[in-house]
Amino acid sequence: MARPRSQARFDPYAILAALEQERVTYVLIGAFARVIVGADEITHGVDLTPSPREENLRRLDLALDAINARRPDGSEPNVQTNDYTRDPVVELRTDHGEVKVVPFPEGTRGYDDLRRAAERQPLGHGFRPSVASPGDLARMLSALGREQDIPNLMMMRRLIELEHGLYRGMSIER
Amino acid sequence: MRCIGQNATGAPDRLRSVRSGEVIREARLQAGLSQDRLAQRIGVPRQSIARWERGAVEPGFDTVRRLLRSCGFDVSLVRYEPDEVAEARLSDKLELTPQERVLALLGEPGNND
Repeated sequence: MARPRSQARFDPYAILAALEQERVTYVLIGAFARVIVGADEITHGVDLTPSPREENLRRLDLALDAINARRPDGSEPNVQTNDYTRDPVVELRTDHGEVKVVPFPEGTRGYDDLRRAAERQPLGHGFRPSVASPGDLARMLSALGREQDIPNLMMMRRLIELEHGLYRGMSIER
Repeated sequence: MRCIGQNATGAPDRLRSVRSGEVIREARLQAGLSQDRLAQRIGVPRQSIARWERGAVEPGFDTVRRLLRSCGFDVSLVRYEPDEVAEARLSDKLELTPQERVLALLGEPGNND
């Protein structure tokens, strides 16, 4: 029996493939990005901040269409014409899991702000998406100011400390 | 937005202890305020700001918080209780490659079961 769309099997590679296919420019953020940089979390979706260029948003709409993205009410998304002052996060369900399009995450100035510290991370299957830096990921969680995010925020801060501890250790060995 | 004391990757700018005066000065400069302007905002003489920034006088926590808030920043204390199991899991995750982390996520109970 097919799963209801809300319980679609989470396949981030299929989502990334659709974005790659349409050559969408974006930075991964949110829980999936935190997992990629080392956080111990569980997520069923991909959150991203797209480049706000009109052509890029058109490509993103095509990519989302390819994975059958729909808003929770069943309507088709249109990231090009969405009113982001009223609706700052476009939440979508797709054939491969949830996708959130967040052009201006809390605490940032959007894509151009995030891309500077973002790094391309090798995820296998030829995918090397741009992923927000641990510092920016922690900053976004902090800026949201939500009590439920505090454990994840503490974890991100600890991860940054551990990462630098590991880096220092590697430097000494050289 | 840049957090005071962090570089673009979120790491501490300098791996050493930071005096409150340095934080106050950094916040004031990032807010584009003169010592005079900041002093006016919180109702103290300019000399107080200068002394705090120089470290000649150490302000209390409430004063530091008031100064930072006047510059558009905040400071708060969050209780942190080390969790050895979580710490070990985090260390293990850091040993993995990004690809291995994603594959581990997809294999987690509750994800795609």
